[in-house]
Amino acid sequence: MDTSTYISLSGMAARDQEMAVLANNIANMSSPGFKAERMMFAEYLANAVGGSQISYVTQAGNNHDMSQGPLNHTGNPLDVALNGDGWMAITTPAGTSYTRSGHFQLDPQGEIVTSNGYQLQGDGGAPIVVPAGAGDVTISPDGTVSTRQGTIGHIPVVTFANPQAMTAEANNLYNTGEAPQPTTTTPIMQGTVEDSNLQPVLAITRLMNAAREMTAEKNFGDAENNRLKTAIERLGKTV
Amino acid sequence: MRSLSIAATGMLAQQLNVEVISNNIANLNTTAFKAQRAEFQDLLYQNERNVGANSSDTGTLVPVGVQIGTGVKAAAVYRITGQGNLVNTNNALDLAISGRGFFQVEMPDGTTTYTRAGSFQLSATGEIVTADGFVIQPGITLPQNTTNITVNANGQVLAQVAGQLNPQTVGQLQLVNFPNEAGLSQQGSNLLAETPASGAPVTGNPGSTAFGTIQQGFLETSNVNVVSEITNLITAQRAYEMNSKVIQTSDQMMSTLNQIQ
Repeated sequence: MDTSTYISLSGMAARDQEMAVLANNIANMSSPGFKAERMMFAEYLANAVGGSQISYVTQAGNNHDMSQGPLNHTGNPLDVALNGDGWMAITTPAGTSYTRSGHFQLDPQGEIVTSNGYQLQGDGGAPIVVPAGAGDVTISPDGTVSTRQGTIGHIPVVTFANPQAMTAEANNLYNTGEAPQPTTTTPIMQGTVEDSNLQPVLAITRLMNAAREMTAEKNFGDAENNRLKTAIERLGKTV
Repeated sequence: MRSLSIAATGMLAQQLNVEVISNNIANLNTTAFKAQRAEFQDLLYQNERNVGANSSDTGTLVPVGVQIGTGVKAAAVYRITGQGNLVNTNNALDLAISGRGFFQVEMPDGTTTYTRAGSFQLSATGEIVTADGFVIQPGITLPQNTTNITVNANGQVLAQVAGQLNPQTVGQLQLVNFPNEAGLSQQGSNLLAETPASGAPVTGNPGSTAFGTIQQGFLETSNVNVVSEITNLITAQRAYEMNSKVIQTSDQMMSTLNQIQ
């Protein structure tokens, strides 16, 4: 069997993959702290009969677009956004994860938690507890958490040498095997959440591209099929 | 095609978003109504190529993996607990809480619910009740022939009885606070109920530490901000359209595949 049909098939399978990534980006348009992803493809070389090489397309990885998302003012005292590079550490049942989604709540013990009830880590990994009846919480740009009665904790901001190595873990959380580096240059903005950094124009153009590329690959496959058909018909004709 | 079902989760999320926004706008004039927001989170990821895996025998590593997300879900619909505006009504039994705290309401089944909507009335026996006739706790009964009611900032209720020179103290209103106000569950009719997430109520007099004061003759309006609701509505509508565009495109691609000769 001729390999060219398989080449167009590998192209169509790649477009299918890419569509899933694009759809996930668009579905998460309203998820705070969501980082859009881009699929990268690579050439996969295979040796064909006759010594020439043919190239299939294969998935190489997906890049997180780690750029800052737009900051959306909510006025909620427990909404915080990071203005610049950095992550906040969250204690989950499976260990420490990192997030830029700064929408927090209080649990019955007064600890600052995410919507899933996972604790926001203060200095040393301990949760930050707002004492009962303390009134409104103030979070200053350097991460100090205080009430009218005084300071109750500090939110450390950490960065990573290679944020691309982070893996998305659902619930707006990310994991990494790298060691966190504390930073003091990223201010924390109270009353603000970071929206998804998906750029709608790029998302829709990529979407249209993927559909057109799929059509092109299908047409190539069809043409190839016709060529084979004609060749077989001609060669098979008895003179 | 996974993209179809992923876009469907996106459309469902935006639909919920519009439902929450429409409830906020519908309750624009509801006394002490607190606006709500839907919060969304991404769903699980499928790891098709693991980051950090060996890419060769010499120990080179895969620098970025292939992760395919599976869509979005609603994580929470939370209340924005900010104070609403206080508007003057000149009605003696309209009580607004300026600051933190809730009035306690005794339900007909004996349970206690909580409210900040202080548009109170008198029952046939002179008790202070809500618009639905439920008694405010601790119960305060006004004597007969009361001509004037005064509620001071600290929640003391004074009644001026016809024929008497000085007003007499007839009761003390109390407020409750919760460690996590956002964790109270909504019961409709401006009432909230305690849940395991809200924590246990802490009772105190108005004006004491961490409790708000009572403003007689005022009502707390809803804290819905129309401008932000409308902009959120526009964003939600466009996001819904974009998700439907994904479905259209996926459909188009599938139809292309079906036409392969």
